[in-house]
Amino acid sequence: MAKIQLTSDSRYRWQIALRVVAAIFGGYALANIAAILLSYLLPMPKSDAVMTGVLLSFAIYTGAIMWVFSVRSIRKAWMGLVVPSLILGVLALALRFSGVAP
Amino acid sequence: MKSGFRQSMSWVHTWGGLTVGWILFFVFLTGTLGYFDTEIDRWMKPELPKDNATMAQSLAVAETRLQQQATGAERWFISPPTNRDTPNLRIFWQMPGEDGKRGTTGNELLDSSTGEPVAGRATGGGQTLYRMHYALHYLPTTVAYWIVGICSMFMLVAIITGVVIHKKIFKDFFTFRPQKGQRSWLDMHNLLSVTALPFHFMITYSGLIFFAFTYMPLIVASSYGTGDEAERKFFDELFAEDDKAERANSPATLASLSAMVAIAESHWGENQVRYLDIANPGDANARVSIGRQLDSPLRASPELVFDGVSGELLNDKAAATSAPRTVRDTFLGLHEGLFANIALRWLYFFSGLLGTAMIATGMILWTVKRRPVQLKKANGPDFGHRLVESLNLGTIVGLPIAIAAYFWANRLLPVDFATRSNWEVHILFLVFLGTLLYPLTRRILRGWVDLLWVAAAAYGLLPIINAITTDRHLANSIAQGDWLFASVDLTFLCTGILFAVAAIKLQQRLHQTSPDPANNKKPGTVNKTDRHPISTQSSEAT
Repeated sequence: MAKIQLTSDSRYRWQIALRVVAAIFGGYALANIAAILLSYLLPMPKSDAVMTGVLLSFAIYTGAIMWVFSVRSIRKAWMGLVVPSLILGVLALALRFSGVAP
Repeated sequence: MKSGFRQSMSWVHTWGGLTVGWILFFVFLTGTLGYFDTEIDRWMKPELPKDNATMAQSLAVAETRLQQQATGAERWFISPPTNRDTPNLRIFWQMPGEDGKRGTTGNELLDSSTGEPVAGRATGGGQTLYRMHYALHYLPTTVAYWIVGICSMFMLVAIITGVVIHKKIFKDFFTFRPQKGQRSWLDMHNLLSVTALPFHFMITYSGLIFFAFTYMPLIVASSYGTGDEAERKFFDELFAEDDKAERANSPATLASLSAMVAIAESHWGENQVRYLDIANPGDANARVSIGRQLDSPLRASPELVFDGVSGELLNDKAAATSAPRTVRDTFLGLHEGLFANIALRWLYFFSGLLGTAMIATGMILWTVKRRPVQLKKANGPDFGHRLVESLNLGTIVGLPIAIAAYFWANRLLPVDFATRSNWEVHILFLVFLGTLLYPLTRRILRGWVDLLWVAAAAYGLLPIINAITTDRHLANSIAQGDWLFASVDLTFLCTGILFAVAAIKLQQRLHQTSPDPANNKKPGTVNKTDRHPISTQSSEAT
């Protein structure tokens, strides 16, 4: 925390801004996509699966936010959100359009 | 980004917490008062006696009034005065809507002995304070829900990162180094946070769940589609409202409600009926659901469902259904604490205060930590630093003063003043605005002393204002054993004393130091006499 002064140039500010955007919007996207896939996969009635997904989405969101700020490189922070979002998103779409999910 | 995991989490904790700290303080304090919303309601309507009517009386009065006000309604809802939440008989109705829209609704508090709506001064009461903690004020509700939701999400992250950055959470818990400036504030912040950690986590996560479908609409939409129709389908399935009776559109007389209540009481015991929910009253397909008092955190009541025309018992519904719904209802029930008896209610109240104080100490810690560096700057502290210091004072002491002003307004505005309940709230926010601006006019520590004294007077004088303006003052309420009124007055008095103690302490330390610590602070020489009252940088501070 105290080291902020040492690196407080515009580069540092951009780093922070990019991470904040990744955490808030990227994390939100990942939380939603993961919860949607979960709601398709859980072996319970549809409404219960959706409820479970909604309940867990905030925990996933929290985890994603902490990930973004914990990794060293900003590229890794973004990739850690984008790659799982894409994989889980494609899976969810496949389940949906193959008719397995509602 | 930073050297290690713990350091980066510490950064998130510090800056995330600071960003939304003031709104969280507002949410936590008004929400904490919400645990005594009904008690505050009653204190703010001193004309109203407690309703001691029998169940039969209440039912008769409610049914007559509903027939008058809402014939042909889609739904009636009666809450007899059998528990803390409804000290007075309450009725609610909803008329049939057209083209799939919700119909108009209405609700009234009734006097069981006269059958008329209860009188008493117009006031926002405890409900208005309670509502502010999730709907704020002067804002469209959806906007307010999102603001509070985003802040709650920050809070959740702050709680988890706060735990993570603690290597020695138990050792730190038992560490308190008083009179050591920054270390003391850190120790206090840790103590407050760890003591009620389960409460802080529960209240934040469950707060998000209350409006989860607003915050995370895509999850429902991905299975059910968008629009009102899809949403209704989801809720009907989730809440298993499959025994909803369709309107027959042929009139029929409603069977005796007291007979149904008698059956319910034979199942559950006396005074166990919390509400009567009547679907399609006056129709051949009327249904009466009678709900039981809450005695566990599970928010839903067990219900008995009756045929509203024959009076026959159709269904004995357990409160819980599926596991996910039970998890949700338990979270919401724990958050609201409606089931809590008086001892547990006070525990809720103090836990809420611990959370409020945790936020306050966290924000003070932010300024205390930076103050020594800021004071050494050639042009004095930065604008940003001064802004945080001023907002801290204006919020941490200012909001309690503003809430006291709300109670003053309740007693001092003329009883027949037409818009008095709106003005109670306007006065709250005008005073809050004043306390936010006040720190700009004073040196910050002088400002703290001044506002602490104002808060002490604002609360300490409330029992006196109450005694002058009503006959339900402390002496009377203690003599009559009216513990609700006595408790509210005594709580005001204690709050006033606590603020006075804080003011005296701070004033003493201010006198011990030189008038302007900014000018004679030499780097590296920290001794007792030179010590800054709030922001001393102790020798071991990092």
